[in-house]
Amino acid sequence: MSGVEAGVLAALAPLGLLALAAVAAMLAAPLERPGLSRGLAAAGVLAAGIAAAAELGAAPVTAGALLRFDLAARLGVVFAAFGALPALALLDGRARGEAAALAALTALGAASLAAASHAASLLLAFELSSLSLVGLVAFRADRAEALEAGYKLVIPAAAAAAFLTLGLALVYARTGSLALADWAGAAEGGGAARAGFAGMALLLAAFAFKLALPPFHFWLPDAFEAAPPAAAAMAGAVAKGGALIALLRLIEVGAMPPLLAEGALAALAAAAILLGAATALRQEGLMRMLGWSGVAQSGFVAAAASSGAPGAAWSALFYLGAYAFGLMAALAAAAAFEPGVSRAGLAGLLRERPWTAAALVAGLVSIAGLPASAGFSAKLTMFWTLAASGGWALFAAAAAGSLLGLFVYGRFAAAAMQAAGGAGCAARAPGAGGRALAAALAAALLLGTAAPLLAPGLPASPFGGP
Amino acid sequence: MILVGLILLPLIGGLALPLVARFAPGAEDRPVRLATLGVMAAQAALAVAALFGAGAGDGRWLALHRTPWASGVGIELHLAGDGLSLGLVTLTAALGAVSTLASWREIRRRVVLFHLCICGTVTAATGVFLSFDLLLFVFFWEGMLVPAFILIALYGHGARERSALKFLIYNQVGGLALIAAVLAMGAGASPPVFDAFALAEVERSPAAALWLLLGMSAAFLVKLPAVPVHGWLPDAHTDAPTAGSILLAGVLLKTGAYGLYRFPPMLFPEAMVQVAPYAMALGLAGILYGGLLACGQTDAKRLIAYTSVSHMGFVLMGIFALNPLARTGAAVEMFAHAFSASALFLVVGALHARLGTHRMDALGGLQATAPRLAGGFAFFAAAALAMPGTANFVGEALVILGTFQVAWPLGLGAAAALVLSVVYATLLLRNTVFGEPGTRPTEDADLREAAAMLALAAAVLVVGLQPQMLIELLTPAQEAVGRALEAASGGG
Repeated sequence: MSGVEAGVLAALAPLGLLALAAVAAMLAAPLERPGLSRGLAAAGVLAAGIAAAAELGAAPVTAGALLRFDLAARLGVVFAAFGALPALALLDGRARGEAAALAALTALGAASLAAASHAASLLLAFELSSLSLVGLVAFRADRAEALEAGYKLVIPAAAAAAFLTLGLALVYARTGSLALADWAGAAEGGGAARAGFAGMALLLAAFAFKLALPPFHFWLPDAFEAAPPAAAAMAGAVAKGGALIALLRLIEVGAMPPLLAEGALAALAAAAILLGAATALRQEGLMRMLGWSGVAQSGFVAAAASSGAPGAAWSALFYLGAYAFGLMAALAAAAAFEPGVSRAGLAGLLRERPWTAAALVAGLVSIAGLPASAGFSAKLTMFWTLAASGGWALFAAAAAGSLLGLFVYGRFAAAAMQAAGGAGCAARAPGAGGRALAAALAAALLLGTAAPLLAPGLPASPFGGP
Repeated sequence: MILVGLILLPLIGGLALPLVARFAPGAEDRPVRLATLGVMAAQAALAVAALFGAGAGDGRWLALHRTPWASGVGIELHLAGDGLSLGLVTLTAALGAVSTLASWREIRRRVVLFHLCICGTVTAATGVFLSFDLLLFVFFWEGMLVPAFILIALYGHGARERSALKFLIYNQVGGLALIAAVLAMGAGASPPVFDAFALAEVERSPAAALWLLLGMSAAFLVKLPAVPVHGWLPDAHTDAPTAGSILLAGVLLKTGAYGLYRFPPMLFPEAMVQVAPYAMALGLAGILYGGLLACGQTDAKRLIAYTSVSHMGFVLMGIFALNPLARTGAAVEMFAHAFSASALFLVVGALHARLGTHRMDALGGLQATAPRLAGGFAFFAAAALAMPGTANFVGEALVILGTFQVAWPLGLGAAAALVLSVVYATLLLRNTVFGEPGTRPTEDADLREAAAMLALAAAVLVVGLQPQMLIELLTPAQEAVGRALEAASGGG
């Protein structure tokens, strides 16, 4: 076996392990022992994450025509695998084994999307992560809300897939190539070349759906509210990761023209930030608030990505990573309550369930962008890219959204600090695992503050390789 | 190294408190409280050691520390302390100890988190006073918000949730403007530069300097607070627990004053000269408005909160009068206000812990029922009205004298405001120390409260009677500001 093949195999192994995790969970499902399915899926996902993390330092590898593993792709695989892990931990113990399989499949889709370098793999990975997410969101099909959220997701998902297909077709018509590397300048020029521009615009719309940027955002709050927290973790963080990296790669190779990559994306970002934060402010339900906040947070990610400043891609990736940790911590707390817990229902959390409260408060502090947390550093670097590129209008929108966000998260954090009424705190007491998860997430959020100090050791762009 | 120690000590001390609670349980969480006191005492001792030259300083700075950290992104561990910053660090540690003493009775639940928040506030404020890398400064600046938010929202009274949010939002509006200004200065360069000394050398167009100054000052003015943006303060002070009020008045407000004192002259001296008349007018507005509103209050804590607005107006005016006399006065007033306002909050907090209210109509007749608390109240009310012999007199008199030199109408206005301070101090005394005793018996100050009051009273008197000691400490910072401004006016 030659060295090149070994490198390709090592790069593909995590994807294989994710697929294996899904298959194993699926095969175990008929045994009707949900714990077994979850355990198998978690083991596979963990192995995939470790395998991918071990390869982070390797040189870029091309696996056939479909996949290319540069540093960003490898990071995307790590993110998908380790993001699926807490999602599996959050899965309701009574949920049937298929749910674990769907979570692993969503992660596989997101990971493949991050590595896709060809129209075919782009489309397949996009569909895989969308459709398995639909299954996960609508998993409790006996609940009307879950079914409704599933419909609200499947229709835009189908529309987005159509956008993507048509967009890819137009780009192909313009460039004559299905390989992403050949699409540089696809949208430039007039006349027939306008097909390339239209194609790229459609691709941007498809990714905006995945990232839940307005006007393609409405499915996310519904999914958060109706689906189990595990599905929210997959929809709110993991699935966004693959889409973000694919979008950044299109920008990086020069396929996405500045008018779209900077102008349109910045507009989408501003709309997401302001709409998401303003709507989150009016929510009284914890999950629905987190859903709308997820729209706003995608806006911050897109803002960083749209800045065009050096390091913009790093900033966007860092922001999404920090947000994922904050979201997982908040979801870990939400999972301790009955579905549909309201702000008032959080009362007594800090006094009676300090571990759960620590996770919730740490998560909210980080998402709000206050120190000392990963979210603070992420927000600061996001503002940094905007300042460095002179995007002061977007800076102002992001600042306004951050302020609204303080209100949003401050209200919920303060509610968790209030004394409970007569009935006591409504949250279940966490087990040893729950405490460990809460403590680990809170610690990660705290330590993440220092993440920008790693910046000097990173390559200028995540798309070259280390 | 000693400067790094000053930041790490309260941080590590605070993080060790859960271990103290775990391994040394005691009645009423005494070990946790004593450990916090120990941390604050050690911190104060370390700061005093730095004041007496234990840090590796040069002529201008008593202590310096510089470690390249993430230099590729312009982040450096650049700390420096002169008499002003190290004095404020000492003050912060001392007020951390006072807060701990003041909460002994009031805080009975979640004691560990409470003291962790005190340590967190002290850590962040110390970082603010010592950092000269502006990104580091922003980090500590923002870091003050969360522990203070928790102190108010979790341990406060009344509409604490609302007040805590108000505090957070107001200060973050300013904080984001500060972030924008700092990033606009440093992020564009390649490699990025956030070192304040390096940024001071950069040539800027007058318009850019003005915008940057306004952005930076927004954060400082909210924290100070200056008048149109003071809305958070009365609510936050009133609803915070005693320790929260002490730390807000004594420490957080000082970070705003410190920021204004230190950075605008260093970074944008020309722009500072340009805006000085407006800023002085803003200061006078704060002095008068805060004093007037203090006279109209029925809640003792709210009254003290408004006097803070008035006193910090003096600081603002002194900083922007742009002469040595007023600048010195502003710096002294920073300390004086910290002593007197903290002590008043301590007394009111002690009464609240006993009587469950700080409405003045329920607090009357203290001189009969609680003579020690009454004495403390009378003494610190006298300090708040700037009675000669108190530190506050030194500060306010110097500010007024300095202001007369540059703009006599403003000086006259500030002097007239002293009348208001007599009115509100008298109101405070009439309704609490004198008057009909309430129906419930009042227990007098215990040993801890008495010790804290005595220490603060001693500070007020020492600075009031021997101001030269403090003034000498503050002079290098004051002269540095003067040099920067002179260079600016000489150059253009």
